[in-house]
Amino acid sequence: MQLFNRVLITVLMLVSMVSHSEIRTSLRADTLNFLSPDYTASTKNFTFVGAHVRTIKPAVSSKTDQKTEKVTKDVFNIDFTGAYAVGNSVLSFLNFREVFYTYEIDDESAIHMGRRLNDWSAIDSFWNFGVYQPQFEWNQLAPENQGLTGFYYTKETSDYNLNLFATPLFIPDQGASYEIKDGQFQSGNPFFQPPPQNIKFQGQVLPIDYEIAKPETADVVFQSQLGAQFRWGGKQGYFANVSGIFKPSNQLALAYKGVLVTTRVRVDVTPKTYLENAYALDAGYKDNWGHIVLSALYSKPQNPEFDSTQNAPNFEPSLMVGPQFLYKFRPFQFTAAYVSTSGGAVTDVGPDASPDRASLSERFIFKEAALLGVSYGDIFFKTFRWDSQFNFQFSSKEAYRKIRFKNSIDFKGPWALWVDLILIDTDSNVKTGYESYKNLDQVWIGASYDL
Amino acid sequence: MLILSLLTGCGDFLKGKPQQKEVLEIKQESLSCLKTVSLEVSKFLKSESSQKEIDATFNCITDTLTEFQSRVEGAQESEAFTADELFQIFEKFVKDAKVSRAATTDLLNLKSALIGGSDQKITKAEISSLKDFIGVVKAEAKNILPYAQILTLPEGNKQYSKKMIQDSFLQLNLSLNNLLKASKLHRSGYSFEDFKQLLKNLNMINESHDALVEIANKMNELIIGGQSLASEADHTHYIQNLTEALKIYMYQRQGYVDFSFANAEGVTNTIQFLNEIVDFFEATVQFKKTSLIKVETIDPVLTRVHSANIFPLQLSLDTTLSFYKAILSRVFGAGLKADLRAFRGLERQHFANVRRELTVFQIYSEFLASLANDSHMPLQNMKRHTIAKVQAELKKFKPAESLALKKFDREDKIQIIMGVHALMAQMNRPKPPTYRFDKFIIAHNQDVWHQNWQDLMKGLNYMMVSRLMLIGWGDPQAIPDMSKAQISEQGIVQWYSEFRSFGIETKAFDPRTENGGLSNLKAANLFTQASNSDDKMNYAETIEQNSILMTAGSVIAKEMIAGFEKANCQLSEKDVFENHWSNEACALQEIKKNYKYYFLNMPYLVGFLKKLNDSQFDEFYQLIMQVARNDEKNKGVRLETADIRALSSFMHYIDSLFAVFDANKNGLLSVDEIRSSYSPRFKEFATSYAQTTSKEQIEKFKTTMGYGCYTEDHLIKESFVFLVLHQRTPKQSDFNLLPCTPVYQRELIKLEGSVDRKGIINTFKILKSVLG
Repeated sequence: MQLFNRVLITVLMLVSMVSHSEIRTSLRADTLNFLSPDYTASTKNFTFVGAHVRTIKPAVSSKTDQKTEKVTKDVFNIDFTGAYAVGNSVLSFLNFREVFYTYEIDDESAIHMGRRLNDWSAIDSFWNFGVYQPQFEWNQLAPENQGLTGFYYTKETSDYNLNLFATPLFIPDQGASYEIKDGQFQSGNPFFQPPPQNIKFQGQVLPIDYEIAKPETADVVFQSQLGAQFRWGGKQGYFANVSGIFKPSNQLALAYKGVLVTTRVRVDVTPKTYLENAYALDAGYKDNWGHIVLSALYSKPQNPEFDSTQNAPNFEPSLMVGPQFLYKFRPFQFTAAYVSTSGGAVTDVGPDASPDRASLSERFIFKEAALLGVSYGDIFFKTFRWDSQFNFQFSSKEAYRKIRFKNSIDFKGPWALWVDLILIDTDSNVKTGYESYKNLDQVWIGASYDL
Repeated sequence: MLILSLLTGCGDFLKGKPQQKEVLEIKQESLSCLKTVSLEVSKFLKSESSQKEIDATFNCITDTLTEFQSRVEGAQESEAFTADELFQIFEKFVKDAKVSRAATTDLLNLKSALIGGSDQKITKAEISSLKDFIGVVKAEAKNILPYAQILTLPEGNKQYSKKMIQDSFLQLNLSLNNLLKASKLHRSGYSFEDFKQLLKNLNMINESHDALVEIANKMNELIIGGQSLASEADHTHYIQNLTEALKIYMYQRQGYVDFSFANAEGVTNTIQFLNEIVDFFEATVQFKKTSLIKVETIDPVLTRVHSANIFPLQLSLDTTLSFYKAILSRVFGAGLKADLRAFRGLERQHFANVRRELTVFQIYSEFLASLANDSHMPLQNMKRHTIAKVQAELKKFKPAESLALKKFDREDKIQIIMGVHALMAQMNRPKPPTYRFDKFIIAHNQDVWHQNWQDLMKGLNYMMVSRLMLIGWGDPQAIPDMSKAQISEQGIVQWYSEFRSFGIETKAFDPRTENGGLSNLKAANLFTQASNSDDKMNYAETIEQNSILMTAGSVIAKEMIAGFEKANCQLSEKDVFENHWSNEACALQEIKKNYKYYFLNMPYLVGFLKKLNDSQFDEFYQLIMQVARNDEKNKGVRLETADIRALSSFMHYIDSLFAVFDANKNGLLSVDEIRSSYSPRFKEFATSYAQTTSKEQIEKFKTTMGYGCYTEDHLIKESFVFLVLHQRTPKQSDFNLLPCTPVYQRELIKLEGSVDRKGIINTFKILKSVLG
């Protein structure tokens, strides 16, 4: 795998060198500190070194700007971050958010090939639900959208946008890495939340030896996806967006079966992809002051088939509805958003399943959220840019609260510094997907140097 | 700064540990039914289960095994479980069952025997075979269901009919055979010992069951006799033996075996029971294969039964073992010439002979049942028949027509018919053996002692016991012709010798007496009504002697001892029979009070005693005790069991003589009546006595003038009559002067008067001193 990564990075570097794109590569170093006194792992501080490779995009859209037209017509786009965790390689990651090649048919139409980010649904993109696009969930408290990998046909006019997507490939969510040794999940990666470590049998609690039946890579990767999106409206005024997609779910279904091996219990976990249809509708109004959008996202999973002796997840269709409001008051931007999900439950069915016990399979880490945010961004002394963003996400139903406070100073050549604080709190008596991460309050401090 | 402020303000965010992840669960809804299995088994064993419940129970077991197949894996091989792994599973998850490591090994051994495969592990494929086998068990459980309550061998009083019991074990036999066919047991070397070990290691049997288990174990060895059960046919045969043994045992448990012979049905059941035991032994694997049931396999069964203390008689082991060998060797074997030390075990002749005797008994009891068709009634309602009527019916009875003879060949038939005829001949005698309330009747008026079924059955028992004695110790043997059979001195001494331990341990014999055989023989020839006064015991003498001994020594002696106890005559000290000594004065009062009850079988004796006043009674008692008492030093102080038995026996002997010789029934023996008793009955005794005590006088008599018309025999005979009349030998003055003249002949001795029951006791004193 490491060899594959090295080869991939090398190829990308070569492609970027021959493309017309302006690719910037930054070397970066981060420290991650877990702040909670209740974080009990022996190592609280981690150091990462890595690189961020990205295509430089113009600050303003350039359809009419001759100067930047060349830039937008760049054929190669990339947004890739890779980091090596010093002394704890399981924390290392590669995050290919985008890697795609664009071929422009004419001024309005283009074909894109590769992994490309797209706003299929305002809800999905904003809240990182991962219905349309896979998520980089290396850190569940700070997920990032990743692009779907395939072929895009886009047509963008002043009145509407059309986006057609097809692919024979599928790449699911990218979660935290883990290690299994002798059936036991190792505790090297604090972001990885292992499944239950014990099992009850005949009134006795016994340790579990996990055995994960890794599916064939080809069975996972070679799956078709078809999507279409139509967006009506110009740069200002009312707009609407409707999209639909048929694809494997970005989350895997995990079936399990407990097998008593003499006096220990082995749990055989079988991951499987499953198909779903997703439909999104956004409608709103936008202007120079910001925008207001009302969105809905409906997804209908097709439950995967497992052996009847296994305990398999049963996915409910879900409907997410919520508004988003953005108000720009330069240099500030204010954000308010809300989402509520009906349906979307995952319950295990099978010989050992209990309706009151959480499924091994996870779909949405939360179902309801409200977010209040404010961001600030300005350039000082024409030498550096200061960006701060404060988000407070919470839910009364699920009783969690999350704060993210991100600050960065970009000296525009070549240094940049940042501090990113993430705090999470839950009421443990209410079920929420954030409960497992309760003690992962963290602060990132980093610096980068552009090559 | 902002961040620091935020951290300070949001201190609550930093606190709190995530809740522990929920544990997964392996559910056991499908296994929860296992909890009710033991309850269902209990219901099944009471035949209270429904077919549905049986289905549910077995489905539960099958489902459990299916779960086991799909959800459990072995550590060494995922598709198999070693004994060690099974043990760990049992120990961890089935703690309550307390399955030990050894039991786990034993279970695998059983698995291997039933469905094959290694005895070291069970594979998942074998579990499928096991489920198939359980399917067969289920079907058979349904077949057995109506009979299950009987198959637990409950004790009861004919709660289940014999037909029901028979059907139950027939079904058990069928079911076990079906299970055998569905298993590979017959191809395995699985033994009873293996099964016993399994039950032991599963704690299904414990030390308290040891005795019964050992009996079963030894019984099993008796059935198999060391033969290998190599084929399916052998196992089928074994199952047949096993179910038959259980059925017979169940008859006994349900009260179908009653040696007290309370009614005809009980007799039929008991005969059937004994026949079935014989059939069982003859059908055992051991006998079928070797024509012998080795003594080495019989002794251990009896040893275990003995050590379990379930014998009705308190016998030592040695006595038990020698007793059965003596019975089998002599009575059902080669008779007196049999060598007990050479006894090898049960052979064909033993079974044939037992069957013959059972059939003799059965046919005669059929006659009794036909004569008295009220034998099922309570004793007080049973009709009595005159002896004449019994004898008349006997003459019409044709034993050869009995259906019981069907299974015998010609020779056996003849022997059986002759045996029945011998019994009939006894009953057809002018004075047949008759009984009332278990007591042997001695009376002139025997013909008025009407008999009911129970009296006649008592007679049959005595006749049969005596017959068996003659068969075993007679010379010539009683087979085929009972009329020629007799027990000689050698035979009776042998009998006593071989039964001495038995008699002592059952408190029948006095341990102080070395061998009472000869006395018995003499008593039989002197005092029984049927005596022919030879030196042997024929059938009639044996019957009467046995009847007197049992009536006097057992029935009446026990009644008297109980009477003394009731009258508070008992002393604290115990005699050699483990009975309390009795205060003699007290005992005498009790005898005076209740002699009518004790000696009701001797009405003329009772009549005589009735006429005695108190002092005469005392005098009579003291006289008879002079003869009966075992040790003179106890005189006037206390009585022991031996004294009571002897007292009772002498009463019987006295009355027996009066019954025979008191021709005019006046309660007195006249000169002529005494004279008539002399020959042949007392001649030998008198001669012997005279030769011992009066040799000189006899010699003088021979040479004295005037007695020429009388021989020595005359002298002894007349002296005997004189002795009986006067309780002393005649003196010179008692002789008539010149009894032999050419003109007339006078009596040799002056003989006048008569002797009553009291007077004759002195003669018994003399008899005792001569005969011992």
